[in-house]
Amino acid sequence: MREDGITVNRTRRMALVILLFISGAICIGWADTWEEIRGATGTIRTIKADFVQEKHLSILSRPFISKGVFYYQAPDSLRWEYTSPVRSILLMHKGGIRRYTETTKGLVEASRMDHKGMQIILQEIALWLGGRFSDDPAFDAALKDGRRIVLTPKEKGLSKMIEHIDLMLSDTPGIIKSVEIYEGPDSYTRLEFLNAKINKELEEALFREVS
Amino acid sequence: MRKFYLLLVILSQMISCAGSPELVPIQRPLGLDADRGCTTPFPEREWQFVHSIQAAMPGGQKAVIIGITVLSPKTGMIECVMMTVEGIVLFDARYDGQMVIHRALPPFDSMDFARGLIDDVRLMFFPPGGPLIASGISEDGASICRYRTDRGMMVDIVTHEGHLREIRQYDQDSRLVRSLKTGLDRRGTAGSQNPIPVRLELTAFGSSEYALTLDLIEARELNK
Repeated sequence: MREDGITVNRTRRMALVILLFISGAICIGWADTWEEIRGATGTIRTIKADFVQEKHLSILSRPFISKGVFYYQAPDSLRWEYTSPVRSILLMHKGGIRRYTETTKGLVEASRMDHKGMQIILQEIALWLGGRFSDDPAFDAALKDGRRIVLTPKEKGLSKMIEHIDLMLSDTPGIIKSVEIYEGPDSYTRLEFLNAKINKELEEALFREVS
Repeated sequence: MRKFYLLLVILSQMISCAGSPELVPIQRPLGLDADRGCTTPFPEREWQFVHSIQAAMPGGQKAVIIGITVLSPKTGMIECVMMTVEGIVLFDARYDGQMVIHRALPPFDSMDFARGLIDDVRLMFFPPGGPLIASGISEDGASICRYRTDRGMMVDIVTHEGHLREIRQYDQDSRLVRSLKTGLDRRGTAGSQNPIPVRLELTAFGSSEYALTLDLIEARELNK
């Protein structure tokens, strides 16, 4: 009886080791070089994912949380939509960027991009999702251990706005797990992506209209 | 040429002042002990507020930003952060007797902007810094408590029918420069005597008119 128990435990342990080995084999190897990353993201046509945004500031006793959903269609269409606490939608499609925000009069389109910073971030997100880190005109990209990419601004002007950006790649090839945008030692924004759905059909209207 | 510029300056002053309403006369004066009700809309302890701010600027430009304010009514300390919905910090400053600007991106990178912002925050959350000089009822039946600030300005705390409150700030020439309206919806916290207004509507009159609508997202009493 005791022998049987030991055999069962050994079998379980062996199964666990095999499982870990298999999962490791799946995960390791897609993000070791820029070519591998580009290869993995090259298969992605669309992404839909929820996101949670945490704003960390020294003035805040706890992070300020925003939630939303984003849609991406290769090569550079993006709908970045906040659902709470303030509804706001950024649309990037065929080179144009528009912003809509909930006001007392409903969703209103901003007369121009409120700030250069967000325009840069949106264009960056589209580049990242396409795996084009090394083509980035605004940031130098460094691939670190543990599927981490560190982006540092090329220009001094931009570095006044953004100190550096940390991207954590997901276990799933081609997917970003989280982004941390550092503005200074006491100020950073963390974006965590959840429930990613890859290569599902997305209506083009999502990137053109806010409805 | 100098006369021409002088004329332009006078003309612009006239235009900017023409639109500003004047000091509302008090029809039925009351005793000066009536200020008890006027001071109640202001927080008494340290608070941290997060608001969504709809800004309507000159030229029809509109923007929605997030404003974070920490204030201490006892010390007069104010900390302000303005950021985009996406979390990019546009302005970060602290006033504690003197202004310290931690971060200011264009077009918010001037000391005039910082001073104006702190003055607006002070008007919203702090009692007028000066003595009560008159109180009474205006022609439209609103109750008015009138203070003269240490900068020679006049501040009226007006309670309209239905307890709708308005704070009006007048310049040295008795022209209205700011109007702050607070909605009826208020959010209270345990042990707090002064519930926090859910909506604040600030209108700035004069040469650079703007309007801000602040909707409360979060209110947290600090050092409880």
